[in-house]
Amino acid sequence: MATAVSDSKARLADRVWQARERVLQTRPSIDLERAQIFTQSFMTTEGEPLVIRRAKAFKEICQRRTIFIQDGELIVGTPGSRIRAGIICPEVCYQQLDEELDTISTRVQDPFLITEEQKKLFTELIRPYWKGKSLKDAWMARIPDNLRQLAVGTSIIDFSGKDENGPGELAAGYQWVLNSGINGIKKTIERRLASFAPAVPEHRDRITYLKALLIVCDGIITLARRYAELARVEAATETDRQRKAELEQIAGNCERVPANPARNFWEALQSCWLYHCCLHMDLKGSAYCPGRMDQYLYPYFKRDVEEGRLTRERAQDLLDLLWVKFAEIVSFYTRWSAIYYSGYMPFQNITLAGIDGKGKDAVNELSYMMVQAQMDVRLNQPTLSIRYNKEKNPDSFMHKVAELVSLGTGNPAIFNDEVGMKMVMGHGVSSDDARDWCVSGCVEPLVPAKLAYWSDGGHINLGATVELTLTRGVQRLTGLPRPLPDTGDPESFKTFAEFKSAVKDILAYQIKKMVEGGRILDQASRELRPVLAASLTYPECIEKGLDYQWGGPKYWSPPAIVLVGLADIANSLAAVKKLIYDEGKLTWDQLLEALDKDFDGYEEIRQMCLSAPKYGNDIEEVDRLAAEIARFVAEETGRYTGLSGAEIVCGLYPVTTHMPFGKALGALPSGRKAGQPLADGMSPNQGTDVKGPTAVFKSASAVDHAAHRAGTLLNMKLSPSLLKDEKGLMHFVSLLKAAFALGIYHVQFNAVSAETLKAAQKRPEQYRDLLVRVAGYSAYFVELRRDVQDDIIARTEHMSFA
Amino acid sequence: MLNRVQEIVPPETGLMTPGLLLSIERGSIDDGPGLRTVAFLKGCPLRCLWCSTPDAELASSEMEYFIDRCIACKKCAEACPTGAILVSDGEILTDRTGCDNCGKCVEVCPGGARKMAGKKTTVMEVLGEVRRDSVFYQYSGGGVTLSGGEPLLQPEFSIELLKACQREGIHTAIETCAHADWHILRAALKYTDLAHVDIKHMDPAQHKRLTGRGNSLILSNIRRACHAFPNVLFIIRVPVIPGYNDSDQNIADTARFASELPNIQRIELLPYHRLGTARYSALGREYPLEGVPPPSEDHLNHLKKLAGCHGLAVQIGGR
Repeated sequence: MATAVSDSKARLADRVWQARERVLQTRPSIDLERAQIFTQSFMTTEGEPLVIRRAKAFKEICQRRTIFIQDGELIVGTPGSRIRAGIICPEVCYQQLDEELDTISTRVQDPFLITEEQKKLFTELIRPYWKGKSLKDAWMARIPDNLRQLAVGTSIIDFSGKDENGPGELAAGYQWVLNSGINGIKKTIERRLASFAPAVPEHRDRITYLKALLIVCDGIITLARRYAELARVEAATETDRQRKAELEQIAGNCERVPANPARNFWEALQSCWLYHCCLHMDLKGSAYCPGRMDQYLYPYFKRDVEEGRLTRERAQDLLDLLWVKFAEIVSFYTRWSAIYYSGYMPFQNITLAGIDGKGKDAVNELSYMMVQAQMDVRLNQPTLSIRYNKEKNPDSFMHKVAELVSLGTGNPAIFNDEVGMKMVMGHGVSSDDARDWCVSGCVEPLVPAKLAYWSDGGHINLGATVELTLTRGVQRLTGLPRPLPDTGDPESFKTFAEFKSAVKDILAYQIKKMVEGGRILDQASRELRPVLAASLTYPECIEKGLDYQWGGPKYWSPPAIVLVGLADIANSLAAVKKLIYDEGKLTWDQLLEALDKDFDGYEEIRQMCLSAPKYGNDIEEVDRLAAEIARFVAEETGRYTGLSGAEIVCGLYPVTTHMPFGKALGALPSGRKAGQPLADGMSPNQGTDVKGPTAVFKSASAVDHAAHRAGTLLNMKLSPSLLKDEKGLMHFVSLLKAAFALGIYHVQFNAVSAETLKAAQKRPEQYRDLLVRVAGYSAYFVELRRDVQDDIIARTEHMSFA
Repeated sequence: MLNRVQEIVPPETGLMTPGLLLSIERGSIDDGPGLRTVAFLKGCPLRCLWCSTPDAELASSEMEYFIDRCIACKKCAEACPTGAILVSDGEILTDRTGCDNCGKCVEVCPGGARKMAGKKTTVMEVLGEVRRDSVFYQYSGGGVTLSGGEPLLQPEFSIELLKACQREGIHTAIETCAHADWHILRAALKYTDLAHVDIKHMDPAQHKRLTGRGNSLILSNIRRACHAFPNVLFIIRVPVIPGYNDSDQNIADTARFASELPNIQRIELLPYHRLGTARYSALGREYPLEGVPPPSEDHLNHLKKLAGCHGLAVQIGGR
């Protein structure tokens, strides 16, 4: 199919530009309105069942919260009382703000504005009410000491802020809202309610639950009606005729949706968006993902275009405006979590392409236009993911994707459709349902409205695994001992196998404690944090009368465990093997001393460590170690089950934890210095992959991606010249096809920018892998003469402005 | 190095043919169709002033010293049997006249500041490396490219490697200056799918001045090859060096020459670049073309148009 919007490159509607500017000009601020209403509501519902109290509080928020319509908007609604508002959910974690009340506006990572009035509200109303009642309180009260010493503030393992935020990564049933409307869903609930009998003891809770959902439905409809009224009022005083008509249309749309089924594209977008806002109002989630928007919106687009009600230009404008709306949402994190999830990241992931329910190519005109929206808007949200089915999706679509890649924004992430399906099927999902998988959070495969789990249940620091084996449980940088099994003095390992087995013992213990913590958190969440607005669109939640958090959805897995620093552990093992056991060039004493001193005064030893084989270069001896550790983790986690009785799964992606995890670590045998970031996901350590992308893909393919059902991540730098012409695009697509034939699950390309090249001049060691290619010749950037480097920087700068 | 080829392919004498390799580069998109593995071989009969791979010129191994990686541990000076490495004021200097490229300093260098350009290898070993990217050739229509230096300066090795790759169904290409005995070129082309042949200058005297050799053997080889191998595709490559071979007349002459031959797929004008200059420093040599700027885009387009007048497709760059 030809791209319908290729002519729109230079064309960005004024209103899109204006909306985009508004986002860029607005500093994130704390929003306590929801917390205030929620708390006040809870004060009046003491003694009622929790789900009813939550539902009533939600409805009250819908009735009372500040709403507004911004200039030029065609799709209205925000979850907060302002754009870029950091909503606090005190019932989950009032502590989030408690500890940072006076520093939040000035902290380095992701500051939020806060007023004195808000501080007063917080200290006088919110904190006193929730003290001792929040999920965080429950978590802190329930974890045993030895877990606390291992998991709280140590960066040895962590629980992904699941004690601070709403539920896990989830993709709710937006499609159901569009097609049936909230009223339609309400009817389903009512029918189900009628089938339960109050006299049957096990039905009682279910009846209560479904009644709570009905209250939530009323809340959503109320909110939409308020927007309609506001639009009418504004239309009445609007002097500009065109805008007046638009406002009237907005009013009409909000009267209609999401209460009723959408009738056209514009209504469909509005319906989706208001439901999306409601999810954020109900509970600040880790990642609410709209899923396969090009699929469920397409029938509305197609009908409108065919019947002449909608031009493609108008449709693109609407999409662009919606894209800006996603960027209006920010997530509030604590100082600690903000390091892990920097950039106020709300992880709203949209998935395009792949196959449809019949197994056929799912790429349609909207797929192209949504890529174009990402190119038009270029803000940090939404996150765009491509399900690339190399057998079925057309090359022309991938060329469009390559255009976006070449902008150097790091978007989109590209996923192997086949592997994604395998991953969700590993959760017990049927092959039919698997065809509808989408990406949530960063890289985690889910099935919208069907498969639920916290795909990011917590992280294990694999660098720490090595460190704690070598130090017998003492964190090098703090000197503090951590409760871990003693695997003995490294000197006592007679063979490499003994050392490796000690490392695995520590790793197994980390996993065990993660499982233990995950269960506690999961249990506390069941009791204290039902997720009503999201559960509403999981049909099985209604069918069973059970919340998302209680195992309502059709498929249900326990929180996943995510590994960070695969390359670091593999490279460290490989260096020890080579230098101590195979070649005898170093003794344990020498190596440990050098690590203790962060290689200071031990540069020779560091160089020996750096020249040991590195993961990412298609070298079997080290890739095999990476594969062995990955398999060990998959098997080890699979030995445990969560509260649902299902197997615990694992993943290999860092979000951004590789930064703080690295900060907490001393030097490693891989040659990495103290404090340096760990490798992210499946990616090689920074600057250590020097054989180009094909070798990186080969190394990464040593690991069985599908066995890591929570997803894997591979970041790759892309030479700026690769995507500059048609041939380059072809090569790009064939590179992807081959990588996916090797079983790679995810790859994200960072087209190298002038900034990167400048950074490489400053820190050449971290950029040894940076290739510069010109006709028939390629060289490592850091090895070029300074004047030649400057030339290339100038050329790259020129290219990006061209 | 052991690799899987040993298990799969029965050992034949040809696979054990020794060679001297400069380096292998994977995933190249500029050396023939698709994604390719390029094997750079040591040794070249020409000495082009602009050579971007000076470490490939000599047919023997050479020590390279990359100062930015040096941690000044002085182990090299201790290890040097000829005393050619001198330490003065903490600075490490290599006396190239005293260095016999024995490689002892490379062995002790912890940081890889000292490297040997040139590594003994066998056809089997290189084939093993080439096979690593098979899946990428399959999806991109790529394959292997023999480059250098001049691959035909190691005829047995190059021919056996091309033969072995073709037997595995891998697309083969060579990049050659065609300055070789006709029998060698002919033997290599039997196992070649695509040949990139350089013409540095059409004027014999200029050619000798710029490369150290005349061009009569080169031009006659190209003529014979194009007629003798109708199934091989030929691409004529012209490095465009401002002030040396980029005159209208030379480019027009080159295009005319090529247009009279069968099987020429196109002419590629490769703009001069300076990415190889650091390698001169590593070898302790002066860069002969200091101060020459890369050709401008306008000039390249002008030459492209000019060369195109003779009926052949012309492109800038090697993609």
